[in-house]
Amino acid sequence: MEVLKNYLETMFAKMPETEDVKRAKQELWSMMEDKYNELIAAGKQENEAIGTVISEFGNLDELSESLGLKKNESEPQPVEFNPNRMHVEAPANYAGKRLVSVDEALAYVSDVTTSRFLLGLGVMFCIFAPAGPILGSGLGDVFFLKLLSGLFEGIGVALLFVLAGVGVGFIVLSSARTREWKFIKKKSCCIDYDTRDMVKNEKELNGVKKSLMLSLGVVLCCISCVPVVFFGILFDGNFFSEALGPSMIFLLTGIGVFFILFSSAKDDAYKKLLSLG
Amino acid sequence: MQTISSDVIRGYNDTIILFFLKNEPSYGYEISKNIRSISEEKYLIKETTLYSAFTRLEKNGYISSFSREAENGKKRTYYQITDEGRKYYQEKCEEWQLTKEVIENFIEMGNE
Repeated sequence: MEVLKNYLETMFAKMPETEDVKRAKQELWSMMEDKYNELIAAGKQENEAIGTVISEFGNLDELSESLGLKKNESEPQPVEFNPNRMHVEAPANYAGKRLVSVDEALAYVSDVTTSRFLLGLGVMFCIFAPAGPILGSGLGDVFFLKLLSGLFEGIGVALLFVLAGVGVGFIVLSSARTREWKFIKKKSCCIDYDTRDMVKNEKELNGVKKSLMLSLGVVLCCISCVPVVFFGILFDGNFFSEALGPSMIFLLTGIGVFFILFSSAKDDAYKKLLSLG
Repeated sequence: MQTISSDVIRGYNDTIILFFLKNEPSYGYEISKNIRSISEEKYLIKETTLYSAFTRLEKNGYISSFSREAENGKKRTYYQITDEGRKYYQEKCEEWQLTKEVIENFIEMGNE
């Protein structure tokens, strides 16, 4: 009898402890117990009875629907993974849901991270852009460069457009990076328990990094106006107070925003994966 | 002895279960035992197949369950058929008649 109990426990070992699962386990146990008792009563040896009960037990795959699960662990499905991920074919279906494998989950996290990194860069460059003309005209006002003031202002304005252009470029690249994963958002997908465990783990490990980056970003944004105040007190109306200080606002805010955007990149990807059925 | 493959019979597990329940409420092992004896041991239903059929039938409103204590004090889940279930059973019986007639046309035993 112990053997049967252990057998059932092992079958259900990786199942979540939901009401449905508990009920299924209880009912299956009741049937196994009945069958075992009757076989013993009919004069069968204990080993023979156990063998019969186990051989007639069936396969937990059949229960996934009754248990409200998409997949269970009794038969790990080999999932083909294409590292190029150019066209990800649905490797398996569970209750009409697309299964996202461990490899795919990792690749998804890495792509979301890269995408968010590019987005952060893009936004950062866009915020940097106004610093160009400010620095340009500031440099033009420095006494020994006055002759070239026109040139510096021109360069400053050009810098505005170049930085904004580069910024927009990064933003476009960033959205291209996650295009192939759109199915995760649109189609109903699911992950198995191993993947879920892994993602949960990674998410926890990433927690400290995330808060650090977020705090760094917030701090940078907060102190962005410190240089302009500082230079304003120290110098009166020269390059530092008129150009470098104000442009530092944009530079520090830009870097700060980058960190804020990037800090939640991995976490958002993990959250998205965990939100799948 | 030849036994029936579970693939062939899959669509009729529900019908088989309802056949027993239409007379009186019953529980898992009793149904599995009755299936074995009425099919003359040609069909042994797996526990998991039976349980998944129960939950499916219950979800569709064809059966309902209640718990009852057996003589030996063991608590068992009993299932009973609903009116919906009786209707569904009749439909499946008619469907089987038709299926049998159609498939029959394609069966030739031992002919060259």
